[in-house]
Order: sequence, then structure tokens, then C-alpha cells
Amino acid sequence: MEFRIFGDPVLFHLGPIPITETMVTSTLVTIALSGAAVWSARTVKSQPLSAMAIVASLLVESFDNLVAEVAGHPHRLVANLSGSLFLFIACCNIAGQLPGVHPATGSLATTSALAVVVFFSVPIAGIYANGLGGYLKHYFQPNPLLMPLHLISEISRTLALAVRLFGNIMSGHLLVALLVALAGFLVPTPIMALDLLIGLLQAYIFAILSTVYIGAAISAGKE
Amino acid sequence: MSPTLTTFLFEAANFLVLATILGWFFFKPVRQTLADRRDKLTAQAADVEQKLADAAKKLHDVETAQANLQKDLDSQRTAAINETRTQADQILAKARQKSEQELNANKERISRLSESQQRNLAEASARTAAAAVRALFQTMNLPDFESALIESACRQLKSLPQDGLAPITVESNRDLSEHEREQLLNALGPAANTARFRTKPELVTGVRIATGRGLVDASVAGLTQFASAKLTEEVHRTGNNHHSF
Repeated sequence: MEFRIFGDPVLFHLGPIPITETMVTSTLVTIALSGAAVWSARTVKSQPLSAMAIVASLLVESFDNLVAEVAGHPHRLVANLSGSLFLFIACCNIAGQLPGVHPATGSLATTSALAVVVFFSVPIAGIYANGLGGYLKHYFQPNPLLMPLHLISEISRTLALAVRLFGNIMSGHLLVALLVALAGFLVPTPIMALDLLIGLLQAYIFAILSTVYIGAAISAGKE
Repeated sequence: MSPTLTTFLFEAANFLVLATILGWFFFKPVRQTLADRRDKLTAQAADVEQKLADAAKKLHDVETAQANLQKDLDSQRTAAINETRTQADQILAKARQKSEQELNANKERISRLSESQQRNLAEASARTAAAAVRALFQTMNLPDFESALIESACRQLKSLPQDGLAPITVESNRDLSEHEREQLLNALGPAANTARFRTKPELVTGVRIATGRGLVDASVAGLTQFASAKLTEEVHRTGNNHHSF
């Protein structure tokens, strides 16, 4: 088994563009997730009492309620973003439990990309909700001297988002890989179960922190 | 181009595409379905509320109608009971009146029957007694008694006013002797010349003299007839005293 922490192996080149293993994995996850989403949406309509329909309804309503609680009122786009983050990260983490599959969230490029999406979503949502002046005003409160600290805080929390998810997933995957290499096939099963739990937990943490950041930006002008 | 940068850009784009797909094909239809279901449930709840209100109103109407019916039924029952009681009282009064009439009629019938029986009994007793007395006197043939009867008739004739006595008819059970005829003619006074003598054996003993002032009966037949009448009267009086209803 190959151990790696940084850097994704390039599987092939599509013209000048290198196609890495992470890209392939995340693409497959996106395709599977899209199919499952379409199917579950139809199931919710046609068989509302099936397990899939109940889980899908529960997921949508949970994120709608979460955003409503954090932002103070329902916000469908933010709920869509939070739910998508949770589903994508959770599915990538679950896919990492499959043999021979490297989780896309185990790559710093992926987690950084997700964190950057959240980073840009925060000012967009803030400006959309409060206007440019209303949003930028909160950088100068309570004192204009604190504006650099606000900027550092936003950058650092984005960095924290990326590194936290990457560190947890990469470390779990690395630990399982080490145990498989050292002790055999069935020994790391409990660690894999724990890794699965940690993966779901990290997906939830990433989603809820993103919601909190975006919700804070939305409600910044109202303070 | 750096693989890391490529992966970074691809992952960002991939996530945005995924978020768009999920937003359009998962979150939006699921939200719409849930909203439709919620609206449907709300409409059903409103419909149920409306039906419950209608049912409550109908229940109230039914209860009101039932109360009115019960009231009418009670009044009709009371009226029927009163009418029945009135009819029963009337029937009872009629029955009492009829039974009283029948009772009075029966009492009267019994009284008449009793009187008739008493009369028959008195008459039978008197006839028997008279027959017995007559048979006794026929058997005894007492000349002193016969003379006493004639003397009694003479006394009665003498006590009558002398005017208006004629005509005189003297009846006896046998031909009277000269002495006896003389006694009677003397007693008759001036009307004696109108006297006619006849024999009537059923007198048994004694004489019976018919005058213009009345009948002087001093015969056994007359005595027994008088006794029979008195006996009948006495028995009838006694019977009335004993059978007072």
C-alpha cells in the first residue's frame, strides 16, 4: 500500500491538464451523489414512507432548520450549500473506506478548494444580505483598528477549515493503511469504523461551521 | 500545469457543479414536495376542522330536534294519560251508576218478590187457619155460640142510625127460627119491613146483614175472613220490618 501525505498522483493527462486520482475520485463521488439525489428526490415524491425518502426529507429539513436558527431566518441557498458540503464530504470520506480508494478529502487541494468556496461564499452572502456598505461596516466594528484582526480571522478560519478536515481524514486513512501493512487485513476494522464515524463527524463540523460563518455574515449588518 | 493547482481548481469547480446539481435536483424538489405535502395536510386539517364544525352543528341540531321531540312526546303522553284517566273516571262512574241502578232494581225486585211471597204465605196461612176454624165450627155445632153471634149482630144493628138502613138483606147458613128472626127484626127497627132472608151455607155459622149503612158480619165466614185479613196484614208488617235493605 502506498503511503502519501501531500501530493496527488497523476493518473493521466488530458491534453495539458493532469488528471489526478483525487479528481477521479471526487468526480465519481459527484456522479454517484447526483444520481442518488435525483433518485431520492423522485422517491420522496412517489414513495414518501420509504427509508430513502424519510432520510432525504430529514436531511433537507435539518439543514433548512439549521440555517434558519443560525441566520435568523430561512435561507435556501445557504442551506443548499451547507447540505451539499455535508453530502460531498461525507460521501468522499465513506468512499475512502473502500479498498484501493484514496478519499478526495484526504487531499489538501480538495479541502482547500472547499474552504475557499466557503471563504468566498461568506462575503457574497453578507453583501447579498446587507449590501456592500453594510457588510464592510462590520470589519470596522467595534473599532476600525480591529479591521486587520477581522481579516486575519477570516483567513485563519478558512485555513483551519481546510487543515482540520484534511488532517482528520488523512490521519485516519494513514493509520488504517499502516495497520493493514503491519498487522493484516481484519485488524484495522475497528479503526476503520472509527474513521468512518470521524469522517461523518468532520463532514458535519465542516458544514455547520460554514453555515455559522455565512450566517454570521448575513446577520452582521443587523447587529 | 501543476497537478496540485489543477486538482484545487477542479475540486472547486466540481463542488460548485455538485452544489448546483443538488440544489436543482435534490433540495428544490424535496422542499417542494414537503411544502406540497404540508399544504395538503394543512388543507386536510382545515377540511377536517370544517367537517368537525359541521358535525358539531349537525349534532347540535339533532340534539335540539331530539329535545323538541321529547318535549312533544312528554306533552302528548301527559295529555293521553289525562284523557285516559278522564275516560276511566267516566267509565267507572257509568259502571257505578249502572251497577247501582241494577242493585236498586234487584233490591226492588227482591222486595217485590219478598212481599209477594209474604203475601202468598199470609194468604195461605189465613186460608188454612180459616178453613181449620170453619171446619172446627162445622164439626162443633154450638147453639150457644150461634145465638151469641146473632145477639152480637143485633147489638151492632142497634148501634147504627135507624134512618137509611133499608134495604136489608139477611144471610144465614140455615133457615133462621122465628125467635131469631124476631130478634133481628126488632134490632132493625123501621127498616125491618124491607128485610129479605137468604140462606148461604158458606157462612158456616152466624148471620151477615147488608144494610144501606154498611155490612154487619157476625158469621164464622166473616170472622175467619177478618182473621185472615189481619193475619196477612201482620205477616206483611213483620216481613217489612225484617227485610229492610
